[in-house]
Amino acid sequence: MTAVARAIAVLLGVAILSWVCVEAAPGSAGERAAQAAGLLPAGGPEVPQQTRDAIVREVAARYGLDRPFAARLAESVARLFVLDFGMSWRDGEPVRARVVKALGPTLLLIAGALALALALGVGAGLVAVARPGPVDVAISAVAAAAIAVPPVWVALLALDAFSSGATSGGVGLVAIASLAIVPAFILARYARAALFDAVGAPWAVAVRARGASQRRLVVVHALRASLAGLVGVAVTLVAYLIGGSLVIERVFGIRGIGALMVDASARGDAPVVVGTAITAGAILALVSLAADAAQRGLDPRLRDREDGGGA
Amino acid sequence: MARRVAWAWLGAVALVAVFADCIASDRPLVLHLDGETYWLPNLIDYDALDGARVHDLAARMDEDDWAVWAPVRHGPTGVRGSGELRVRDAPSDTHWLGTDDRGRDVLARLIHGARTTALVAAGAALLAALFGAALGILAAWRRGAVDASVIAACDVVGAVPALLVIVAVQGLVGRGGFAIVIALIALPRIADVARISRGALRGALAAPYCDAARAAGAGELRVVARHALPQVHRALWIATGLTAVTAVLGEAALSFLGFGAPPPSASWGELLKQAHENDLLWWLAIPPGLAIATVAASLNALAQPRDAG
Repeated sequence: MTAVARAIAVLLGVAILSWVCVEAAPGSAGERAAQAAGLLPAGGPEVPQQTRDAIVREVAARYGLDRPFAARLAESVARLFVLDFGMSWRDGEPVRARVVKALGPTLLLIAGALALALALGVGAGLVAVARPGPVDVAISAVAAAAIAVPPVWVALLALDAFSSGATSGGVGLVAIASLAIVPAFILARYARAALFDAVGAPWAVAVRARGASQRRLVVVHALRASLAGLVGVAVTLVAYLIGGSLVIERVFGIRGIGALMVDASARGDAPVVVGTAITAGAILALVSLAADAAQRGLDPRLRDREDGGGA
Repeated sequence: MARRVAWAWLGAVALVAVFADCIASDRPLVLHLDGETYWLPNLIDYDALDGARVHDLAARMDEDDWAVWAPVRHGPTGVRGSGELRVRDAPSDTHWLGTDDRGRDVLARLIHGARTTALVAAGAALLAALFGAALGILAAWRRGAVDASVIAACDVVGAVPALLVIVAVQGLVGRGGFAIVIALIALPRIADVARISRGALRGALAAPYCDAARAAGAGELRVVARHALPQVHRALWIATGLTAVTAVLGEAALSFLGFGAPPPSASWGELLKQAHENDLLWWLAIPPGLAIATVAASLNALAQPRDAG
């Protein structure tokens, strides 16, 4: 239960920090809200000061930005508990509706990319261990180099290669594949190392002595022993995937959380930026909670160590 | 072998970055005009030449005048001075890599983009190495509560999607200067470098030769600095190299999203952004992509452990 409480505290911290950032930025919140709505030209002396002030006052009143900062902060934090992110400064639409609409595509993208990366990475690791020698060397060399591939460029080239005549589902698959490339190589590297460790462990000798074939040793025993560690790596990759989804969604025109945040940031639409940041944080928190539980299930040693501390 | 190629390529890119103004400029390197010789008008603003660009100068020069031009006669932000504005122009004799959607020379922007990339890579690597190593040393030296809090802070920073944070911060606070972007790119790497150097230092501090130094009466700080730290330089080097890789790729992604180098500065990621917005014209998409990929791959090759075989 403490882990859940900690995750909630972190998310609240993100919200508070974000609003403090907004408050610390130059210009009043009302002014920036008016700018985000496109009611004020960014730096326009051509608009008389009186008109500007009137616009800012009206926008500030609409979003309650004329109240003291502490009151606004308290209200936004309190509203978070009912999953209310406030209203967009662009058009006054509820942020939650926009986030909910964007959540589906992003979750699909991230989950698909993670699943693909796991399949490819673990598969490559198994092949490397099952066939040490040139195959393994080749996989390792490619995996070492692939970390340096710019995902933006790969995605652009993939878009160029597959965009003509592809259905929207096809484009989605290409997007998932482009996002999965780097995580797949990271997982391949880790899986290879973990599987080699497992095959060289003393218990592996015992498994062989009982007559298990090399394939059975690798696929059944070594893989099982590496699973908890793989889950740990996969969790760190979710953070990478969320960051990468910003780029991938932009390239492939997917209307997900990443695209929503990029557009809102470009506009200075703070409520939407905070809402998407908290949503991304919540995804990360949920994944890491699930991974903790999964690791404890997969590795009895973790359970024994934290006896009594669990849920 | 691979390391040598990587060093050579990075050296070439660094030279291009340093001398970008002399390789691609719409102003001459040396100009002899009306009996007067101007040295490096591409770098120095002479009052007599006030605002004169390549086409104005060509018109003003007569038979006695001469000029030494940069190999690429276009600046990164200059547009065609005479004749019609040519946007999205395919590569030609005048624009060797074509023009972008504002009529600027792509080759010139590519050359000046090397400067942005070099700045980000060097800046982030330096920040991460300095602050990361300092935090790592502090944690390994003081242990206890200091160690625990440094590691906890690094865990939090390391678990956050860096790209998302940089975009969000710029959305909340407003577009910052380029220095802030570099610092934000370096931040998660500081955490990583701190963790790596702390781990390596802890390993070294537990070694018998450190016990020997302690037995000889050395203080703990001296043991860390003189005996453990030299063992850590290789891990630190690798972590710093990876920081540069991350920084190059991060800057490309940020500029692609419009949150990197502030316009109108040239950047490879910004060229990719233009490619995306302009039907993936090959002269906007291929050269910057190759540049990013080869520089990142070279840095990555140098950041591999040397004895990995």
